[in-house]
Amino acid sequence: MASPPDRPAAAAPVAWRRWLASGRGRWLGILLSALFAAVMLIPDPGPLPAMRLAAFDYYQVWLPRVRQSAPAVIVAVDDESLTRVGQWPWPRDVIARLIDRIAARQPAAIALDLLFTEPDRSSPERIALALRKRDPAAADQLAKLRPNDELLAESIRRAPVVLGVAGIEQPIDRGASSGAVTVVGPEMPLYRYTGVLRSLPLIDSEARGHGMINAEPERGIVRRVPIVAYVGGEPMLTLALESFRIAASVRSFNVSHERGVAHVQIGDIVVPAQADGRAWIHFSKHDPSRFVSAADVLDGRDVPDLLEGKIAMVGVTALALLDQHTTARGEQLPGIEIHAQLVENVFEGALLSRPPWARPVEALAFLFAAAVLIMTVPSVRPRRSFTILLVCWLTFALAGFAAYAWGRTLLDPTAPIAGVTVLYGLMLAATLVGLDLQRRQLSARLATEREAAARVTGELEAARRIQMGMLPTRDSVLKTERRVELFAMMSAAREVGGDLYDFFPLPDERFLVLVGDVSGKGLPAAMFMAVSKALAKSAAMRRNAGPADLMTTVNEELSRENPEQMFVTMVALVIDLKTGDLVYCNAGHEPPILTRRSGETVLLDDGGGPPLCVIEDYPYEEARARLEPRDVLVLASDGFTEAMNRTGALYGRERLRALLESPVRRGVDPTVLGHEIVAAIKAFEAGSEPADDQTLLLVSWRGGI
Amino acid sequence: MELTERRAGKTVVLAPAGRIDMATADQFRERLIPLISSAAAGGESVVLDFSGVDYISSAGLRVLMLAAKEARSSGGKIAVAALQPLVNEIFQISRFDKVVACHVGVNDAVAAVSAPA
Repeated sequence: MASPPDRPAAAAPVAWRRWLASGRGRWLGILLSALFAAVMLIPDPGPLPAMRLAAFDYYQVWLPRVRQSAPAVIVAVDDESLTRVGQWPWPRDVIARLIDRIAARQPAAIALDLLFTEPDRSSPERIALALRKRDPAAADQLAKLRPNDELLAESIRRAPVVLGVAGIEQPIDRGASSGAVTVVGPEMPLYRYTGVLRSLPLIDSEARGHGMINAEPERGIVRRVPIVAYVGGEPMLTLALESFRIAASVRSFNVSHERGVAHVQIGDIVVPAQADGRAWIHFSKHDPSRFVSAADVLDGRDVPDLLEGKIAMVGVTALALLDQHTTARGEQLPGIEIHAQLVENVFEGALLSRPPWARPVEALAFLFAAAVLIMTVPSVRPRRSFTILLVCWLTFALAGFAAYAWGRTLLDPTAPIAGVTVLYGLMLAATLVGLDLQRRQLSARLATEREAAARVTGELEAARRIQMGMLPTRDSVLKTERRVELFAMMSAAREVGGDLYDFFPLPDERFLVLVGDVSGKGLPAAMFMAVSKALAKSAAMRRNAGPADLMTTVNEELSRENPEQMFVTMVALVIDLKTGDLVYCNAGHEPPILTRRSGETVLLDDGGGPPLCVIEDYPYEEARARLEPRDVLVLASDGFTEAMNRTGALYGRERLRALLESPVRRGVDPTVLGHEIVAAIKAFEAGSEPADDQTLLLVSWRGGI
Repeated sequence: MELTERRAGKTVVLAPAGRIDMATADQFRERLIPLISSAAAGGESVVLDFSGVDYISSAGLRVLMLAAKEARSSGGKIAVAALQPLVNEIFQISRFDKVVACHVGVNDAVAAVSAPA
């Protein structure tokens, strides 16, 4: 049973490889791009928030906000103040005095980033209580003094104070809601702090405004702060905005929202917000000129008009008090400076924003770049496609930075960059896998072809040996026949050829010579040549007839079975070895040249007819000539006369005749002459490959007896 | 090889140009053989204007042989005209002048094939 030859296992493409490489990875690329774009549309925090936030942070590191105004001044409880006034927390009468001092400078509002959740321990009545047993008189004296909390409440009542309130996540309520806030309109989509931390009601109720002091760092970094949220059930502005409200003496604020917060309006001031009620602070560098030391204010050593008309923000900055936060710029700032920067942001309209259209725009930009990559990567060199990837990276990065720098808009370059990078890697891998697959298939095919070629070569080599073996050799004939001298050669343009020659003695002391040429080349011609030669020999031997009879017979026989419609040119000559009489018949072959001893050449071109197999019943005619001893008959195939040199010129019969007629060669032996002709043709061809089979046969009659 | 065709009365004149060899013989044959059978069916003859043919190899001669056989079996007529000297010599040597009628001028050929048999 025959079975197909084994294919090498490595050549069989694995299914996943074929799938990966299908459409040179383009289908996979399209699928991946669509998936990635869909993921990019997932709302906050979305995919890869850390990368995105890092990019936004770097914008601010490279190009921080340049401070253009000073709407807020920080009255800082700094290290200097602690040295001069004493340890923190200060007695509340000191804080009351500080508020009075600030109020005296006529600020627009005083924001306290402070909480007074428990009664003051250093209040006189508390000390009286502690001294009662040790010194009743002093205790009585002290008890008469007003409690510190009352003094503070009084100072707060007299000034436009905004008191800090902290929203907390535990469900506890330290200090009930003020009850002073009236909400008009439906429930707002704001963040809800379940618990609240406020000052003592005595103090808290005296403040004109209450603002959130929450900064809400994200993984330790402050980027965006809630500017409005539900705190203890009431909507509340952040400290900075509440300060604006009090400064402007506006009684209410509006939160405009539709599928998320759009902006907060306080009087004339409109503050854009993110959908969740937060705002991105555009940070500037830490600036000492924002600060004035609380100790200086207490001592009246501050610049007199520094606070006038400004929002005075009181907070602790002393390092030991640990109210330090890391901002998006990576800088450690006191919490109160973050609130002050928010005031500046609102005042200068410098808040950053990440609009709702940011995600769709980023996804579209990615899809556009993805389309370019999907189209180009499989069809250009990796170096070129990597350049395209670099251009994508640069475009995204620059577009993101430009949107920040000129539009204060936060567009994320990292997700599209990550997307195109993954896509590029995948497309490149798919392209390479595809190429590898192609290479394997090619090498498998090449191996098969080589195998087949080797087989064919082997068979052709055998065919060549058989064909050459069919041709008679000079020695085998001349051993018994001394009256003729011969030279014969055949050279096939390919392994096997369609030329033939034959010579053998006939009865009645005659000698037959024939040369033929089958139309076409290679194996088909060679097979037809073998048949023609065999038929010719049998026709010549059997009938013992003349060359015309031979032609007629072979023509009939060959024509009978000739499916490929080939034809053969053939010339046959019969020499009477006793007399030199020559009878010949030419079926469309190059005419023999008779070279006389004298050097004269005669073209034997009488009689004959068309090539064999062309006209089935053609009556071939014989012609006659007479040989003198040592005359040489030259028979060639057209491969000789039409041998070409590099310029395409043909050797031609005239050159051959000139060579034969040259006096130098007069009376030369056929073997010598034959070799000279072959050498002359080779020289003419000058190394160009012969296009046709070449046959040359020279016969000379040495005379009778 | 270029092949141009024109008509002269009831005769189709096909004029190949260039070399008719191994490389171009198939093209020549695919054009010529159907032309002969269709011409024969319409009572028309075919003349090959060889004035543009520089060379004809045995592959080209084979096409002429097939054409001659086709003409004979379909009852059509075919003639060759205006052979260049080299091509004429090839015709002489191969005796193809005995296979297809050769004429000096195209008009002679047209007249010859148009004449009643």
